[in-house]
Amino acid sequence: MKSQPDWRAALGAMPPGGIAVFQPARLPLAGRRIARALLEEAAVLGGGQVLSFPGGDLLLGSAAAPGQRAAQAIGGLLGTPPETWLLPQGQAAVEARGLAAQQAEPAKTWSLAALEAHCAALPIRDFARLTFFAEGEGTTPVAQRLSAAPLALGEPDLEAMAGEFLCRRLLAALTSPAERDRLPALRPGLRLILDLPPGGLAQGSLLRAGAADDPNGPVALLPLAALADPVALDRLASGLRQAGWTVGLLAPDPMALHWVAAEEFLWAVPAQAAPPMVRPPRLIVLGHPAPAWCRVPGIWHEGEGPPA
Amino acid sequence: MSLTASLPPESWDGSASMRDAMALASLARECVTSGVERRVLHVRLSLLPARLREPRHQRLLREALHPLLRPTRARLYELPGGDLIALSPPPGEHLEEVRHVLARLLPEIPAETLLPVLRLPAEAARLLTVVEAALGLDSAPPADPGETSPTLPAPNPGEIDAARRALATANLAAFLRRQGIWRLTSNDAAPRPLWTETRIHIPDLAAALLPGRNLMAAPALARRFRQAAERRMLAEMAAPMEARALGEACLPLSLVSATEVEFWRLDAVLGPPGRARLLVCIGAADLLTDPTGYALLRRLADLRGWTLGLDELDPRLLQRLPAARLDAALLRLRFRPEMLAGDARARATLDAALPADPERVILTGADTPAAIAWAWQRGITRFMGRMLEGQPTRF
Repeated sequence: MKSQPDWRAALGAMPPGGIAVFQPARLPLAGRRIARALLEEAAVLGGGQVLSFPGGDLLLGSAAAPGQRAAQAIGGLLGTPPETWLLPQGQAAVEARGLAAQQAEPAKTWSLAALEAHCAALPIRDFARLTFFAEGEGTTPVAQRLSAAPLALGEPDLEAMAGEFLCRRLLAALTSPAERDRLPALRPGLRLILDLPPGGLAQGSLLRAGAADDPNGPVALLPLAALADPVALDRLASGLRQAGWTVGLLAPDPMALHWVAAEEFLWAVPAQAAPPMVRPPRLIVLGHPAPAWCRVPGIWHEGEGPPA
Repeated sequence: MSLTASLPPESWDGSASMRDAMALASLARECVTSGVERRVLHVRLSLLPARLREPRHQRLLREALHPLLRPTRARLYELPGGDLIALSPPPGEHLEEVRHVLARLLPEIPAETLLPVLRLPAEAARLLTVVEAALGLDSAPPADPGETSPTLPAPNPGEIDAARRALATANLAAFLRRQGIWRLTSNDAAPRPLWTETRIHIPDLAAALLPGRNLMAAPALARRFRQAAERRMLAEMAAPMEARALGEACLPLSLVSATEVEFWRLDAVLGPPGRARLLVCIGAADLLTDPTGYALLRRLADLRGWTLGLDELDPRLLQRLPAARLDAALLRLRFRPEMLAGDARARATLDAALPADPERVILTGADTPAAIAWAWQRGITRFMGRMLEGQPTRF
């Protein structure tokens, strides 16, 4: 924010009976933008203003009624309402929150060229990640996943772009003798889960994993976005199955399980507190520690890695 | 809008033959459900060599047919493509008579081929096939000319960054395309306008800003390019004069653009009455890339009072995203000829994926009578496409 007015002065100038609303930046991009817009609307209606902190946190000071309404709307839309304090009673609490928010690292904005350069320069050790999965009550690993760690860019589009780029680097390293030792050491004999970019592997470089349609073959995980072209996905999936792979879809949100009819795929979703209402026959739950509902047969959940 | 809308578009001829075809199709189905018997004579004039298909020949045939059928309970239907169907309660001797007369008039083709007789309900499926083939007879619309040459190299991220900077101040007027979304029922003489879609013609814009590059070869970059263009379009639309003139508008947007500052400015300028007339359509690919964002936008649309639709569904994608499982107020489904060609099982799968309420579907790519017929059979009456666009747009 250019020429940021001093937030303390702005709050101090609020007439009594106003409200302070603090919205932390910890939200996905769409959520951050929606929260900001609703707070801006309240500022217009309530004679106040919205102040931004370097890390993206927002502070609204305005008349009580529109501020309260905006806070409620944000809570309804995003699940968690922002913190609110009536003024002047809450003045000290708001100041404490503001001081903390001031310390945050400025949020980085990426140009596409900068992001590509960043992904190209990142050492493999810094993003290659090997995670282990157990099934049911057990703790013995039944599978290992080689993937690129997310960069926490906060924008699904940029994250997908970076993810695809890093994923290609991992695959290249897997097949290059010179680079292979920079990857985490795969456990021999343990079933492999390997992330693939949306278009799969480059033409002609289909890694043969074993006998066609082997139910215990290694798992190729494709991003859910690959489903946007169902014809291409079907072709790609049948090619992979022919080459001995089990094909899975990697969804960024378990909500996709409700929406998408793709039961012939194995699914991988991030862990959430409550189990999804639709449960495919085979499910991989990502994230550690795994919630209790994952500890049933048919669900692979992320566990501690084996001792090094 | 209402002034131009009262004029029937030129390409829509009221299509008596289409209505005949639809009536025949539902009649064939009724015969199956009720078991009522009918005899059908199919006069396959579409098989005649071109020299015998001139209007005077048609007139001659009709003149021969009418006196034979008038005193009977037979009904004559004309299908798109020119075939005639005469339908009569059994035993239908007069149909045989008609057959003899026509066979004499047209000795070039054996009567078994030219003039088959069908029995309903036993051969309802054959009649339905005939009707659907006739509906598809109108030549398929010409494929879009290749908009970008596939041999051109994809742009690199730096070029997209530069294009995005240029877009921030560009005037997009020359790259906006407007097209109507219409209501057309089988009782309408002319389609009625529902919304006007405004979209950016990305291939033209890319050709102007990224000459010598094939943007579509880099889908992720193409999305960023499109988003920047949409922000610019929204910024222009949010000017108070423009926003007031927006009316019943449909905006196909990417998910990201629908939460951008520019969209919120438009949302604010429109106010509750304007928002109620706004339809925002998000591509299904965006829902797959960011399900969380889509769910959020869906709730937001309800809160703010505009309508959120899911865009760019085709039959294959709809089967992957069946309406009963999706949370979408409205779907835009692209018509594909294979929707008529598939076997019974494929059709049943597609039908099961459609929303229970046909009002929630807009059929896009309605360029042929076959598309309209397919929709009407399913109660769908909202359309976009060349069949509806015979009139100059209001812009």
